[in-house]
Amino acid sequence: MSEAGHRVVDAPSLLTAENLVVTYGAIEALHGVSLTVRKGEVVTLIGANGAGKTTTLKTIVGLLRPKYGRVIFDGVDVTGRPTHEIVGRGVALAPEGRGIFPDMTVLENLELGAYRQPDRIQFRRDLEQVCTLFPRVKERLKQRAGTLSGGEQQMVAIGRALMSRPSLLLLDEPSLGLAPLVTQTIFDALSELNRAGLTILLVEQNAHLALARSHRGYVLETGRLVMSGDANALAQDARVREAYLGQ
Amino acid sequence: METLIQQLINGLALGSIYALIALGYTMVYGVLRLINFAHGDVYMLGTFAGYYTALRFGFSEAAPSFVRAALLLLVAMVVCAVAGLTIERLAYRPVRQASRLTALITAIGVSLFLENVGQIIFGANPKFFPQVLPPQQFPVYGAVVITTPDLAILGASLILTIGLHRLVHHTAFGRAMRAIAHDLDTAKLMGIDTNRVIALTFAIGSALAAAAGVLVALRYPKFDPLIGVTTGLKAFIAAVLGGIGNVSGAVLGGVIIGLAETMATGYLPATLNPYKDAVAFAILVAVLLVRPTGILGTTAPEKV
Repeated sequence: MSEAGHRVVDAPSLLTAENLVVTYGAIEALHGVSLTVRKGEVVTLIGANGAGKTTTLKTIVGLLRPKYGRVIFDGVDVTGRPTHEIVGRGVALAPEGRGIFPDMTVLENLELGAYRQPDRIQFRRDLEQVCTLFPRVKERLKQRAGTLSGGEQQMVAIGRALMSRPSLLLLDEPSLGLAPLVTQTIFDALSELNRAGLTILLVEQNAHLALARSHRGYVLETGRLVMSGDANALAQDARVREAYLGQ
Repeated sequence: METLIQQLINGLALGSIYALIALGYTMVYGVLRLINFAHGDVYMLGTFAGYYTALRFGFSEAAPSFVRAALLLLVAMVVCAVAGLTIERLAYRPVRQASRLTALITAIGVSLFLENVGQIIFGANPKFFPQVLPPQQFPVYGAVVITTPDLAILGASLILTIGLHRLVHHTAFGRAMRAIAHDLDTAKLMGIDTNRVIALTFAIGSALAAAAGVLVALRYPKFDPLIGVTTGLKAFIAAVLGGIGNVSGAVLGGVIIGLAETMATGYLPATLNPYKDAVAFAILVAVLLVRPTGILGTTAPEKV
């Protein structure tokens, strides 16, 4: 049963990926992926290892340049634009493996998330919000980020992404390597962020949990979208259940 | 005892020079994993920039002044910062995506280019830097004295090193540099314009080398377009010795190499004196045998 109750079907599109083809050398990783995320939605991209989920997120945020296709964010074609510019437009990615800076303090990590924020008052306000969302982060602000537990590091990674005040949050496997209880905490926070208006595109191996917290989902298989639709419907689908939910 | 203290002062001064240059090697290595072999030649450019500025404004021994020396230092730093930006943009950025070997060969090419163009433009004959500092000596202990050039070297290096440390550890720019050093893609995700930060890193490193180039000439006035070869190599050794990529390590390595070299000059028997340049290399080999990452270096996993 979806916890994301409100209807966002008619909301305008915030992100549109059109027919993305991405290659690594001679190997084609995405063979024409198209997806849409509407304002206010939580959308999940599920798929096996190597299906192209991370590649899709990296292409959206400009770390990879598509061979063909376009990325439209908030009505602007951002295909091939540098990552810092796309981030500046309001896209943030909490990368796979969390990507925190282990030798810096938690606070320094959060400062980096706010790199493009010149307003110190706004910075403190945002920091306060992250600390409210993740009280554990607040306790560890002065600590070296590398000394934190995996769950705490994930909270720092999400908090850091939020510090840039994104309108679209991309998350790559936020539950990776975390205990179920911690995963629950993370997803509760994501639901709370969404209720506050944040649009989220999520990549997850834990399809069950991710679909339960999403409005819609896409299923990616070896670089192609094979299914899409309402998250509930996907979670009920026999093929999805067999392939990704282990049922 | 007096000889020892005198050699310590000399060694610290020389070490500060190596440290200033080593900082540039280590910063660029930090953000790009590139050994910028042309860095020693940027140091040479710094000396020439100071020299021609002094000629242009008529600064000479006739009217010594600290302000004029400081002015030469600043002009040389600005000139070399621009040179560093240009080298990065024209030589290194185009090969950024290529293999590290390509970048390394490019660096050697830039180095040879600067050395040879330097000889064509400036002439290969040695020149003498005008001694623009007031020639004073201050007693320290017994017969031990510290000269104005030594004071200038120690003072300026200290200010620049502290300034750099503050920049790296207490500013958004420094955080961005450290973020890039850790992981380029993640740094981009923070909204950092990484090209800009990398370019500025070159500019800062080059400015520090230029400062070293002018400071050294205030003490050892003879110079030519090839001075960057040996001095650059020793500063590179200093950076590796301290742990390349580590800013404090570069300073520590520089001081160690400087002290070792002057101690060797002061205490080795005269027949061995020609080998004083070998001391730096001997220390490097010895330290790397025990600590392959350098004194303050950490065992960072090789990036793929």
